[in-house]
Amino acid sequence: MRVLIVEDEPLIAQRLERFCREILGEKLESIRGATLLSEASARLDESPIDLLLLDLNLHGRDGMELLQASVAGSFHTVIVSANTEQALRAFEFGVMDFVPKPFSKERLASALARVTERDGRAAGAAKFLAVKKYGKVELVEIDRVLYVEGAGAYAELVLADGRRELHDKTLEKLHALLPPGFERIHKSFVVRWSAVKALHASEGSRHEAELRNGTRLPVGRTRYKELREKFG
Amino acid sequence: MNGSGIAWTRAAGGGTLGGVPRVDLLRLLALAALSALVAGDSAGSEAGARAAVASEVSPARSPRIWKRPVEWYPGYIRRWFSALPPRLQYSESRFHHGDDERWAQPGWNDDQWAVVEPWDLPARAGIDWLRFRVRMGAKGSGPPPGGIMISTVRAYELFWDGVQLGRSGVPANSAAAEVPGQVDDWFSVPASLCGPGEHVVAIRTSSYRCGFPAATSGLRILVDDPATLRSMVLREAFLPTVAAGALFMIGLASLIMWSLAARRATLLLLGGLGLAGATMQVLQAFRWFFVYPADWHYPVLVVMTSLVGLQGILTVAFVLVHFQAPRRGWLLVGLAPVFALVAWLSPERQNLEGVRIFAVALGGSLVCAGWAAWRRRRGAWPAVVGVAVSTVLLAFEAEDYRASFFLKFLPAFVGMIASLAVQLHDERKHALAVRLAASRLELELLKKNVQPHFLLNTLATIIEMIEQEPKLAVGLIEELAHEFRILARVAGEKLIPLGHELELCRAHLAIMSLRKRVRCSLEVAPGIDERDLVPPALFHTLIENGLTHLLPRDGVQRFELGAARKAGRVCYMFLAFGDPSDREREPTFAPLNVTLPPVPAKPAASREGTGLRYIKARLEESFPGRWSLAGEMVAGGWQTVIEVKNRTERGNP
Repeated sequence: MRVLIVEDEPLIAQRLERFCREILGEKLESIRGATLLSEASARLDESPIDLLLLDLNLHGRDGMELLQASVAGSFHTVIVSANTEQALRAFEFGVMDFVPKPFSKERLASALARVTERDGRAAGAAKFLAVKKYGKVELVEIDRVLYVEGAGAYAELVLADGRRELHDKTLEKLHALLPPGFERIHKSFVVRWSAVKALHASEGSRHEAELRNGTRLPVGRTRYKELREKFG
Repeated sequence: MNGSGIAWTRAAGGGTLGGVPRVDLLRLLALAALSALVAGDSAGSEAGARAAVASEVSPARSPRIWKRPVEWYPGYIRRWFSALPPRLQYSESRFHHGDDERWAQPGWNDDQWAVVEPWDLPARAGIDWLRFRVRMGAKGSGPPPGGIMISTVRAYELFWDGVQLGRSGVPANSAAAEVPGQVDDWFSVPASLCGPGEHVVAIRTSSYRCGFPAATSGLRILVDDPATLRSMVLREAFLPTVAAGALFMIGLASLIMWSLAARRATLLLLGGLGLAGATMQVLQAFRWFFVYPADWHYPVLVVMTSLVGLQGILTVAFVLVHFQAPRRGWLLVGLAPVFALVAWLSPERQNLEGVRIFAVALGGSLVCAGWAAWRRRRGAWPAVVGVAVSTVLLAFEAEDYRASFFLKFLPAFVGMIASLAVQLHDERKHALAVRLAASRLELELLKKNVQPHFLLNTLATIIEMIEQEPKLAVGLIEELAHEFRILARVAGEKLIPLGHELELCRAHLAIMSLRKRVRCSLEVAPGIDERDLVPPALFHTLIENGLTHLLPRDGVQRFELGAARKAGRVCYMFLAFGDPSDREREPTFAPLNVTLPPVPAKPAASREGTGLRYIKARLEESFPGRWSLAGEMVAGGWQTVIEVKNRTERGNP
């Protein structure tokens, strides 16, 4: 786990770093700090990260843009801020967690758990996914997403109208952000469960899910039985 | 003309103007319209009089001309006669210069005497006799007309069928010998003398002391039963009595409000209007309750007409001031010669100068109120409507400035009060809004300091300190407590001594030094007077802004406050040293390789944020329209210049 802390209060940054070390232990590969975003930029250029702990004042346009740019990245974002009234908004844009200041070690641990654990999920309040497109950040409403197809380090969002958007996050990371209505049906597919019309098990052990619009997606062998039950 | 018809003269152009000292062509031309009006008024009776004169030449006893009394008198005093019993008729009046006691006898032949109007007798011409006949209808049709009421400024003796009923003053052949009577006097006719049929009224009169400068004067004679005559007088007294009380109270209330509540010119003018009107009405009512000598009457009328003119002038002044007409001072000065001209052009010796001035002033007020309505001034419409109604009423009956003046002026008066009330209401709303804004600012000041960003970050720092460096944590808590103590002291104030403000700034900087681990300092230049009054958290807010937007240089975040004084103004220069933080330079999240849409250059105002908005609102609250604020990037940091003009307030150090 590679962590970057952006926090301009030195003692709070120190506290975050200390807690991260204590909580993550050996899982922590690297931890770096920046008091300013320009510093953070330099850190990111050096090497990629998995988690950004960001103190962000979301007031005003700049704050929103920074948040969107942040959540569009390949890493998870956890906001650590005193402005709790902005938490809901942050969740809508797909942060993994919002840790209000002042924070305890336990609270930070639960936020880190969401990120590090296998089944760790965001609070499920995300309404948008931020995608980078032609050098800009665009917001995609999650309600419009039909399914997500993993493509290595990236994931492709397939929208109800057939459009496809490339997201910098991996399928696993995206799934963690998506609300509970999305189901992992295959190592490369996460689908909106309500869009599934039928499950097919054809000869040659090929399992497929048929969506309401006719699209057929592969279903993992291990997942099929569980999904069958869920389908009823 | 005057309402009682006691003394008056015909307008210019009439045959009785011989005594007028200055008759020039311009004046006659200017009064042409008015003359026509008045001439038309009495044309009918003049024709009657001519007919009577024509019949005089015939040797036979000239026929009597019988009319109801109301038909003998001119329009403006007819209302007095309209109530007389219909069975009563007056003959034409006959006039003779000279003195002979036999002329009181009913049988005396006055056929050769001149036929005159009873209100048109030559003044100051020795003793004259006036005779006319009263014809009564059959008995049983109402109470006997046993009372006579005479209103005149002349001294006279009254004879009824040769019997002297009484006298008012002593008529004489010289001013020295004459004794003035009462303006209004009442006589009773013995029951034996007021049966049906003809009765002769003879009046022996002189008018040296009548007081009126006019060439003629007259008599108003009412014959009716005494109770009716009394009730007529009470009716006449009713309106001025009511009006006097009402106007006095309005005037007094306005003056009290002016002196105790709001020192505004309009209240003073309204008070003046009320008291002038009340005085006029008291003079009018006084006549009916307290009989006064006839020679007082003219000065009283002069005072009353002056008060009417004064009310006109106060009205136009009120409207001009109330609606804040541009150059209203000059307009009022400019109106003075207009009023003078109006007074000069008024028919001489009719006491109409005042009512003419009033009419012109009302027109001027209407124009001004109309202008205000056109400019959409608040409260203009009540004034327009009121003044317009008054103008129309005045146009209908311009010359009675006494009995019905109150009713004519009432709409304009009510309009003015309504307009003032609308303005007061608006001002109260404004004052309320100002108070609300003040409490909002106080709330904002407190919120700024308990806002999560400041307070929770401080608490988060304290928690970390407690775990790592407990001694520092105690220091930070003490500084925080110190800042909040100062804040609690100054939050409710609109202005605080600069010394307190600096204390607040230093407490904040102490906290931030501990939090940011940089040395934050505020240097104060020698020109600063700590007794100067400033809005709370003025510089505190600038420090907050500096800490947010500027980066410390060499581990130091430095602020500097200087002041310059010029006559009546003080100029604060606040310098925040440091380098602009990257958020200021580049509002993009460059590290994430995202290019955001280009940010349009925002005007300084929208970049200000809540901090500068708070400062501006505070400055406007305490120094409305007398402050300026400018900020600019200078070498080494950001400079804010605040200038406040006409400062006189000083606090205690």
